[in-house]
Amino acid sequence: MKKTIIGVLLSLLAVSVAAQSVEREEGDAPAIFRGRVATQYSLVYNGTYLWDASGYRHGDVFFSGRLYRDLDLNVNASEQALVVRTPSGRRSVSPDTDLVAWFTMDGKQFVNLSYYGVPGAMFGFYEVESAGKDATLYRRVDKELITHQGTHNGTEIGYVDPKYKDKILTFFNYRESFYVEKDGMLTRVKTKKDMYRLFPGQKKAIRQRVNMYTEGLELNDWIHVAFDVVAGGASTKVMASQPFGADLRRGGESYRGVPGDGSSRYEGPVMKVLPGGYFSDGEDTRHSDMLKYMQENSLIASFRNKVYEIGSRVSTKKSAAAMVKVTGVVSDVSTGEPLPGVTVYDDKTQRYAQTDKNGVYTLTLPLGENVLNFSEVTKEDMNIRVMVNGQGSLDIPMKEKSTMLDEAMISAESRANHRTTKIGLERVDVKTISKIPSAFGEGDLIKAVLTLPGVKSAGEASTGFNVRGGSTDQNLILFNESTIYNPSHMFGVFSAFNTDVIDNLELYKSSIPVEYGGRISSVLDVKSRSGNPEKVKASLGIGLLTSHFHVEGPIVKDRTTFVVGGRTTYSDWILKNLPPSSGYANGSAGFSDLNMSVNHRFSDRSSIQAHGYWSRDRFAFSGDTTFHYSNMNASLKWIQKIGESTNMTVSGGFDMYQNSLDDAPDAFSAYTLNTSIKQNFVKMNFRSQMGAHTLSYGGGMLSYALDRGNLMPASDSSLVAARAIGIEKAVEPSLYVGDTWNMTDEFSLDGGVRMSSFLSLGDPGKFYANPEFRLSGKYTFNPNLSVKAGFNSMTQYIHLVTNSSSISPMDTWKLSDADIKPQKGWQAAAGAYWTVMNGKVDLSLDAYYKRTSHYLDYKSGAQLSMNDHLAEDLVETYAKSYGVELMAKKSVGKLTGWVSYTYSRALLKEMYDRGTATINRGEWYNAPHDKPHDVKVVGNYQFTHRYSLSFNLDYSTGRPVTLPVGKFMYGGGYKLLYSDRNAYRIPDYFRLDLGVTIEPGHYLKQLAHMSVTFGCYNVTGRKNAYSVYYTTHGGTDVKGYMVSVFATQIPYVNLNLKF
Amino acid sequence: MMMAMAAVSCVYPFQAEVEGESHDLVVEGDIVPGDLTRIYLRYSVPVNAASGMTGGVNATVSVEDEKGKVYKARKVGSELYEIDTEYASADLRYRLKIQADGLYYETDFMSVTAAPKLDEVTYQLSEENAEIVLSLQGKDENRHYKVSYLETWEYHSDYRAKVTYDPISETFQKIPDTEIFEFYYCWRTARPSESVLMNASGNVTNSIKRQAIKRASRRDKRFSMVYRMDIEVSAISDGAYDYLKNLQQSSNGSGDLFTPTPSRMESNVRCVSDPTRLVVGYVDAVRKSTTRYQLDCRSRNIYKVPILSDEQNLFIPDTEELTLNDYYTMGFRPVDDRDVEGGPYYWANAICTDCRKEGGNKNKPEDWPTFDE
Repeated sequence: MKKTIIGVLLSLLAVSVAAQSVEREEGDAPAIFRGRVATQYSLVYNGTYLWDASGYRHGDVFFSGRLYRDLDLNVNASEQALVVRTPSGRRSVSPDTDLVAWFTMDGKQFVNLSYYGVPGAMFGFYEVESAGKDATLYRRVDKELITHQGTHNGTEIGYVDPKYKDKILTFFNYRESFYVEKDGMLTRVKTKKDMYRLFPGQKKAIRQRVNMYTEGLELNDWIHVAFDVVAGGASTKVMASQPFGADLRRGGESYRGVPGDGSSRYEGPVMKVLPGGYFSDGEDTRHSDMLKYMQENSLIASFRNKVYEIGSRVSTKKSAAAMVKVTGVVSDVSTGEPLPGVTVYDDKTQRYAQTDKNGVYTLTLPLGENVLNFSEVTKEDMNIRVMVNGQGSLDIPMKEKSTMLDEAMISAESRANHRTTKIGLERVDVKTISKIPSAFGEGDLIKAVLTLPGVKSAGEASTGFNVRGGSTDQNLILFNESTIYNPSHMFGVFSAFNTDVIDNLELYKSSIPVEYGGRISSVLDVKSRSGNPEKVKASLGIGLLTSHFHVEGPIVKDRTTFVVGGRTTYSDWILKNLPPSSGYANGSAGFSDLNMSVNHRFSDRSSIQAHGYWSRDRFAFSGDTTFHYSNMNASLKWIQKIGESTNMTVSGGFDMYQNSLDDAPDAFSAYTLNTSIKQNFVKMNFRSQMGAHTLSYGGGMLSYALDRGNLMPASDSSLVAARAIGIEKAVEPSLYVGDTWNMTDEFSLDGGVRMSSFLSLGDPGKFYANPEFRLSGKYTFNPNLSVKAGFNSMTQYIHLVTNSSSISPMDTWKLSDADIKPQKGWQAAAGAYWTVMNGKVDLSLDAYYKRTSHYLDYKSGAQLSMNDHLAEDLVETYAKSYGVELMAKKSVGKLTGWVSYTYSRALLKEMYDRGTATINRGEWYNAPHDKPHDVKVVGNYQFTHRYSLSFNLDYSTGRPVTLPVGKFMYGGGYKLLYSDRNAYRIPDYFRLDLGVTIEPGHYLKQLAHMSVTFGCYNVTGRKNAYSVYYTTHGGTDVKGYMVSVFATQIPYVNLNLKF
Repeated sequence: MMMAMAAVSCVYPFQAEVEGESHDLVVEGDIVPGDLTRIYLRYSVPVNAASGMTGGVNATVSVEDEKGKVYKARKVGSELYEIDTEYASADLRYRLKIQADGLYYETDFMSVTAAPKLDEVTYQLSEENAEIVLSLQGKDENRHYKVSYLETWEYHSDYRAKVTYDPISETFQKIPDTEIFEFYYCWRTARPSESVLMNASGNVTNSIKRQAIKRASRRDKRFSMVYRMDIEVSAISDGAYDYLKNLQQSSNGSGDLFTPTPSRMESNVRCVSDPTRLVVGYVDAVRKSTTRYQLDCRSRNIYKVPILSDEQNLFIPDTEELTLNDYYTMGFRPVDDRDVEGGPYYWANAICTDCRKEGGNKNKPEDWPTFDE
């Protein structure tokens, strides 16, 4: 057993160090010789990874749209990669399997069925065994490197090796399987029953035929015989080693099938697209036949590097100068998830479009041949040749970018950034999130957001974030269209989002699209994955404090998918081990959350999604006070394509955020206080392409029921009176229209109006209507240099009233009413964007100025909880913030990441004079999150596919605090006299985190793949101040203290399993 | 790993570099019609100053009722001003007026709050702590109360010393029977540095039931013999409650994640000659209820004898290592004569043999219920 384990580990190591490098043949070698160097295995093993164990065979390859003839070939059956010997004979290369349509090898024909989009086809090659009128029989060989006790010569390695070494336990395990392609579907045939199911009603005919053989047939032979009977097939010869392709090459002679007449040929989808007669004609005609085929036939491929036909050929009667709309959905090839933010660019017209959050793009193209480029930062660029016959659609699946390829150096993100008018839009995919080191090692969405320039927080254990000087409540956090009011677990240590189920996030820091409203500062739009449409996948992660899991897969294949994910914690032990000086030594804390999504595709034009999210937190810092809070969201979203140029999205749902405080200092004072926000929403959005204009229009309705407090005695002996503030109700209807106008290739404008309104249903009621404006423009000097400017105004009707530095469960949310006006704000922003170093590095300079009025701050000594007259304890303020953000970002290559510096200010000022009670005499004062200088360095160095090092450096000016400037005796002890509000600062913040991730080997076909992440949070062990405070120790002595939440290095290790 | 995690959250001393002077007038006290009004005046000092004392304020202080009658104060000591308001009517409204260093300060006229009715003072025990709890009923619409008290308790030292040691003559002397309790029984008084604030605004009535006004360990010597509290309770205005509560909270910061940011509230004493000048303190017009609560802890099994540390334990000096004078200089004293005649006897830390070393004195209060001397 021990040997086995060691053997497996050695095997893993050996595979991991197998050659991954990319080399180029000198000169102008044909493209097929410019691929990846074929994998070499450095360990000692039995058997061979090659499909044909006898060595290279002669054959032709149809690669990347071209035919290459007379090559020495074989197949790496472990990787399903073609192995081609270069003309020099010095090395072998492996062309990208995705670009290999088919090849022949020693007369046998091999087809890449996934290239042709055959449903059910796996990555790799299938050997054509037999072709009939109605179906094709394929054989597939896979080899897996495993270590196992015993002798494996013969069946297990796939052939008898005279040089077999008994002492070597590692070997390439041979696995042969058979498939039948029928009615466009590929089905594996494992038993006789499978064949009967594929061809119902022919059981009798098969049996009759099989009975002609005197001896019982092996299953493989039986499959061949049965196939000849049922498929109108060709070969009657029971000879698995003599493939049908070879028979085909012998022309009509091979059509000896009984009962087939030999003159017919299978016309299934794959064989249809192969060059007609290629295999049956003489060699001299092969190439010309292929060219003829390419020129004359409609080659409707379903994967890349093929000529895509769009629209009906009838429509080619239109003028050649006519322009037509082309729409489609771009999705991830491995998960089926729609991809937002993909840039679709037409080389001929230099027009471009970007996919929306549903992965939908619309582009106006001229008739005829065009080349479309699809680019996205995490995906490999795709150049698609299209023949536009008329209006139509083209759906494109994109593949994960291989970070090792030089060809991938063109930064898709920079290209997208230069082409969009949006300023301050940040996109982060889940892979990036998972690689940013965080406390306790779990990939954290909010912590990833905090690494972006212009985003700050009160401290490392604080809930929420501040965007460009805005407060934490001024961010609209959407999770599958639902609003999340508290985005954190455990008072900010973890985010509320389980990265297992997250697909991507978009953060709008300015140029907020007209579709969004209701918050002043930013929109964080988080999307969960829709689930793998092909097969069930699962993952499990185990950390020191938390564990998480997710399961996803098809319910109805290619139609309905699901994703379920959850997390829980066992963190009580950490609080119980804190030193008494921390104040939390007797505390307890924990959380759980659950995500569920179901997606159903009615057709290519219509789909529906259902999402659910639930979370619950509890924590107690002392024995008599316990906090609970929970988020619950449910939403439904329907996406429908209307005509060829309009997409409609309708969504609705229910959100709930609840807080609960149980306080029992003694039996007579014990009480429970509950607060909640409940909201229902419905939104409808249309997106239409009209020439150079992309219109977005729609509306929404949001209804609120906000319970600011329901106080109840905890027991019969409690003297606390039951009291309820009452439920505030309101509705927030909105209508909007926006247009993106690509005036020229260089100049684009984006404008829109959102009619925002709010009706408070209290007594007295109050109606507010506020038009909001969006305007932004972009000018591109050249593909690497662009400038942008924009303006947007926003209105906010719900307010978080807090007098603590961090969002607390007992903070009060308040709706606008007759006394509390909506917050209004505007932001002007401008930026310059320059891509340098051959597209590898993006430099950006953003500047902004933002003003807000009616932002709520609190009077000194304000009572915020259970206050019937809350407005009397609040003050309205002006807020202004401004800043400059500089960033250098590298998105491609082994080293990726960004360096940013931000100078910004965030200031507040009371709107009205209240005499000596006016905060800081009515002068501008620092907002609690004002941190002028901010430096962030985030990076990942990918040593190999498996090993990567991540680092994260964060420096910022300390946040403002109010400190005592004086002391005095009062009541027999010292008391403190405080400065102007936020007049001082805590010490500057600095932190460096490092993390190492070891991914599983890519080529092992194991049931479970394990990755390990280990690292250290706060490597330098700096004692960063979370807060500073002064105490008089009960009046006896005045001392100042600093609280450091993570005052030392925090090593972590996380284990993740994927199934 | 466990230890590392346990130490991640820590509190460290911190000294901020705050600038500027702090010299605001601090006004402490309430106008008490029907009783003596005591007003303390002082100035604040910078937070980093070595001392909180400013040497008092030379001021003219008076109380004025709404009919214009003025009650002038007399200065008692450096900070205290006393005003004879024993015969002032509780039905009138009053204001405080101060002239200090050329500036004039005053409050608005304030109604006098009625004294609450004290229902009960008793004690509650938990495994480790003892609490003195108070129940009261407010009058009128008052919902906030301020409780202050003077506590006095009798206790004795851990050991009853029967001999003394004279380091000069290096001899022991037996303590006469008439003086045997000289160092054994003591009385001690204390006034907490903060009043207890009570809030009944969320209660069914304006009464308070069994709210703790004192909590201490059952091993505290307060509860070893007899414990007495002289309690004063007054109803205070909402403004006074908010001000004093904020003052207490902001002066006892915890650095807690959710603690409200400390801030300075506006006093109800304003400088009328310079409205920009800030004043500290809140003055109310109140009537007080007083009561005395006395607890004989011996008969109620309240006290838990603490486990003595090594330094508090008896020991026989090792005279081969150190001389008896060395022990004496180190703060140890002989205890009793259970050992050989003439010493060296059992010794213990002086704090265990002399109750005065724990802050007490031999001033037995009047009407004290024990016969101890």
